[in-house]
Amino acid sequence: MQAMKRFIALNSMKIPRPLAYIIFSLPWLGIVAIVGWVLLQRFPANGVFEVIGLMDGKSAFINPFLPSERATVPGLQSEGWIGQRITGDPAYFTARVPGPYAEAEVEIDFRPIHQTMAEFGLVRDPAGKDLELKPMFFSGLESPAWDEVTGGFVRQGIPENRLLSDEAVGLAVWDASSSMPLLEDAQEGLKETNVSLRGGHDFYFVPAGGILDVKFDIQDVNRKRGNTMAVFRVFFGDQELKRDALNTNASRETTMGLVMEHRIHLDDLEAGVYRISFQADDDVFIRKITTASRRWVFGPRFNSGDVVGFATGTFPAKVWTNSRHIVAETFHNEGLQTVKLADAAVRVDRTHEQYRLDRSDDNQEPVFFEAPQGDVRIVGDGWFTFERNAFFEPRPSRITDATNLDLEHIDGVKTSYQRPEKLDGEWLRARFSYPLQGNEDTLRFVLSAPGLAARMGAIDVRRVIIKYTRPALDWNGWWTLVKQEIRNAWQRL
Amino acid sequence: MAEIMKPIDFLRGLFFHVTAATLILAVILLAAEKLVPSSVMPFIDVIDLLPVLLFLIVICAIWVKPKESEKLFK
Repeated sequence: MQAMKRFIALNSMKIPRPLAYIIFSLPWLGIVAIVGWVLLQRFPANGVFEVIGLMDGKSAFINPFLPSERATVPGLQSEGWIGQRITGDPAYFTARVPGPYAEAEVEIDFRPIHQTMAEFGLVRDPAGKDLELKPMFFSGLESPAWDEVTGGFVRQGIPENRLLSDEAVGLAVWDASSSMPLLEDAQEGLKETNVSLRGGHDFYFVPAGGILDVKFDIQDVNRKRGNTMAVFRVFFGDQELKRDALNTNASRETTMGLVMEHRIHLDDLEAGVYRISFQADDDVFIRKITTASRRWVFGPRFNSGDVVGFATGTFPAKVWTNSRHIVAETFHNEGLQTVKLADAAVRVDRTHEQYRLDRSDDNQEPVFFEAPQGDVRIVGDGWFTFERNAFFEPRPSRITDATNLDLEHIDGVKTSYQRPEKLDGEWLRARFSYPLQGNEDTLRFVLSAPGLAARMGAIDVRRVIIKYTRPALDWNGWWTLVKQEIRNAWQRL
Repeated sequence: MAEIMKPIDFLRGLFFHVTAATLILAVILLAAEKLVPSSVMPFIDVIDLLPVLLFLIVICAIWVKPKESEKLFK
């Protein structure tokens, strides 16, 4: 009864229309406020937008590491910390970009477990081929026996200018360019070397008497019918001096093509190292190399091809190399064999499987590598040559996860690597910075830890901070930004 | 008397404006997210708001008579 009376009293109330209209406008003002707030998030006045991901799967901007077979479930881990554990190489995560920004600064809190090396990078293209990896961690350089100097690290007692030296022996590089050794030999006669190199290879030559004179005998084995394009490119440092493209003569053949000669001859060359990059698919073999250069090497990829249909018997791969770590693989049953690198040996007893071979000696001289059956593809961390006297190091060796700085007598490392900041316990913090184009919707980051699964190691990640930056907004900057947003939106449509 | 509104009309009017404003907000936010991905969704989960919006629209269609709503704009 009381409630009914109250309802009748309420219903008999009269509300002035102007007051009602003011109240009706409140939802619309709310909309304006919400849209304004969203715009403020999109266009922060100071040009900085920071996102924090705890790798627990809850961040709207930073997604957890994938694939799931190489990373644990994000969130609380069995040891009581929150984040993700990376157990395989590589792992990646994506991050939403909150607008057109000029740069992304990434901070990552991590903890390596039984892992010597890690790299962190940004994938620039959808196919994952344009990858910009930067040094993240290397246990060998954590030792106080190494001094951090401009341009890299030197052993204690070694002068800083060691990194500027063109002496490649004893120097290693990691994500850095190195100066070219200025080498030159006296002119001598041409020398032939029979080889069986399959597909693309990189060769390094020291000019003899200011001349680079090399003749390649190449052959299309025609296992894939039709002719094939092959390209020879000659480089001096980063400068391309010559480019020859040719078609192999196997277009009408049903068997092996004829052996073709291709000669590269350059005069009046300055001292240094000249790289000839031979680019072709695995249908094209190099059968013979004739050169006036006394010193020439190739690598770090060495594909010793079979001679089926070209010659009887086998063509053993016998080379000298300074590689300390190699990976061998064969694709044919004929290539199953024991391969030897100095005193180390491994039995390649399955096709399409990679076999690793590591030297543990401290020998600085080139050692002998042998694959008696040939027909094996080798990737090393050094250079190869067919004659001991022809060996030289065209540039410093690169740091790998298996590099042992002491055993390899390395006294300087040219690198952009900076020791990560030490946090609590064994946690470390690494920082990276990547310039952005301004039209990215998402960024794909990669954490690479070579050999992680093999050594049963892990990399724990407990936090990722991405700070997107661009210049602080003024009227012109704001208008430019809006135009960029409209362009990006148009491209998306 | 034209300056006075009954409470029931007031409530209907308020409901109408809340529904209309929410609908327009949802359209703006969804269009923004479509044109500029990640501009809205990390801050406001518009998808979760859609059932609420649908409920508002249904109630509004039943309760707020067209004639009444027309009056609101006079």
